[in-house]
Amino acid sequence: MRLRFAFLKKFFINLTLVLVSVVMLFPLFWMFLLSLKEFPEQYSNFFSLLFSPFTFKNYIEAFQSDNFYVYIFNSFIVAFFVTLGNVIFCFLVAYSLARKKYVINKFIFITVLAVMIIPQHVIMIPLYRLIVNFHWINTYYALVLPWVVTPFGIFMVRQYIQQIPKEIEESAKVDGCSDWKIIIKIVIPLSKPVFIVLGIYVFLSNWNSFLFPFIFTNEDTMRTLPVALAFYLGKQSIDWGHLMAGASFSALPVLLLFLLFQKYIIKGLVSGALKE
Amino acid sequence: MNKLKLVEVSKSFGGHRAINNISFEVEEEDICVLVGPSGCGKTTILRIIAGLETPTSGKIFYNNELWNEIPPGERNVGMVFQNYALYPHMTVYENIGFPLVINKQDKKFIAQRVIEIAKLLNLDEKLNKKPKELSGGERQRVALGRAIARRPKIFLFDEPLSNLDAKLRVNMRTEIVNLCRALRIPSIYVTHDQIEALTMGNKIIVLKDGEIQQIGSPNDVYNKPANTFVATFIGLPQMNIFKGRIINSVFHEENSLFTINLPLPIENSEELFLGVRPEDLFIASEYETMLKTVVKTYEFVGYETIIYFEHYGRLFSFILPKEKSRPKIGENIGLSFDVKSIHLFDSNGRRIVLSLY
Repeated sequence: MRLRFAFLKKFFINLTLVLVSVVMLFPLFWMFLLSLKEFPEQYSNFFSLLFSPFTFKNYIEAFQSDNFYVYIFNSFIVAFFVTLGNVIFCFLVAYSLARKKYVINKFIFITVLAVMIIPQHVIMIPLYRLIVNFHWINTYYALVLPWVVTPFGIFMVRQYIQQIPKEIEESAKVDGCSDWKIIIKIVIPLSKPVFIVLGIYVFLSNWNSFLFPFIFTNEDTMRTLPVALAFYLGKQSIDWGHLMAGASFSALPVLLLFLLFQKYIIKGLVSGALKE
Repeated sequence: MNKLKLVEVSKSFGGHRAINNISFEVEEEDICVLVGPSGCGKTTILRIIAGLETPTSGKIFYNNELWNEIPPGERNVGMVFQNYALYPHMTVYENIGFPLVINKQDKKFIAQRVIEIAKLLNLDEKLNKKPKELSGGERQRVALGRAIARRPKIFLFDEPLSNLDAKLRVNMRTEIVNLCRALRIPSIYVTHDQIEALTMGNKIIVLKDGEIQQIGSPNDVYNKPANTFVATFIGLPQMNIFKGRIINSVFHEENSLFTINLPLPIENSEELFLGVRPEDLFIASEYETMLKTVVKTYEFVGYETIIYFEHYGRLFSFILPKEKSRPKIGENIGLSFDVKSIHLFDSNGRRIVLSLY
């Protein structure tokens, strides 16, 4: 009786997991499928779509269109520099918050938490005004600088540094290290996992970022990939083939990074929650 | 001769005074043990010597050189932390060599020194391993190796054995003592374990609430405790302390458990404490019995048995040697002790010197 119950329980858990996976993965599958089909078939029913001939025409055409490489380049530059900025600046702020005993630290930390609570859309208009005043519209500055340090990054790195035993740094101090040497020789190497996690999160969220690049750019050559893709949605018609080919391509680094670093991403999600 | 000296050192954290007016000296052959309960300030003293904390007042000298303003890295102390504090991303070789690398020593010299230390500490097979691949005892030895790499002026140990299992602790105790003696470096060892203090140190400093209670040899703190705190803190099971009064040089236990004639004329006193170590109490014949009591419980420790008896809500103990037959729980027994084995403390708990002994 008990055995049968255990079997049923396992069966239903697995069934639920399979169903959830199908729901999650179907849009991705649909995207890839449409990207590999030509115009009239894209509008046919699911089964004839599934068995109609495959083609890479959409990909080839997307790459041949004027600025596709530029969009990829822009997306990459933005994601890369925002990631680099986050790793450097979040670490500097977080280390100071975690280890130094400045009177103002508590206030700064509360401010960081408070900023985390404010939704990005609230700062959309003031930020736009600021960017206009700096004459940064249509520049990389507008796409990179507002995000080079994020409260979430500070919070995450601070939590991580706090769990590194203080004695390790003290021991380095006794061994003859200056404050900077402690940071370079001890804390940075030990913080590598959190840098990887933070780097992946920031890179992916900026690679996929749509709203702010959409607002801060109006020249075609400054568009990032997600913004450029949005322009495939015409007023009268939607160019499904090219849109899906572009979207599939933009999903590629996301999938690749996740496959390569999934160990760290999962570790990052639970960091601080479990005792090592 | 190299010497470390603390003069009236105090340290406060906010309003809390962690240590108060601490003065002592440690010389070349000394293994000085700071012992006391948690929060007594022993680690704070060690951190002040290492330079990780600045004293609120007082001075620290090393051979007449004032250390107060010298940063930790320039003091050249070797410190072993409770949790080893090894660098997890470095190999054993890199860990031991780290202080030398930081102090820009020649590569050849570093290699030579690391190998020499690894041999000394039996780590030569483990040089390429990371700390997480080592056992607790090996990690502790790496921490020791790193501490001696620079030929430190002074050795500081902050409860280095408390993370090890009991058997390993005993082995490491001997290893550390041998190492300190061989290197002839003044060593300061912090522990809350009084057995560790008695076995390792040749100078013991007993602390309580940030103040020194007694400085002395293991023999001094055990046999001539300066006050009731030292008397009860050092020694396991702890010393039995009986409260009472003195009338005509006779001690009367407050609840009439016993009376005893003191060997010297002592002034009458209303409140006074008499201490007897559990090993000095013994089961006596009816004729010799000084105090009568009932066995409450016992602890069998193999080579002896600790027997507890209760008197007016307080638990006292005595040690029954292995060869004696053990009384049953609830059995009436008569106990006695030699007047030479008693310790007397005044109403403030301070030792009264019985100059006869």
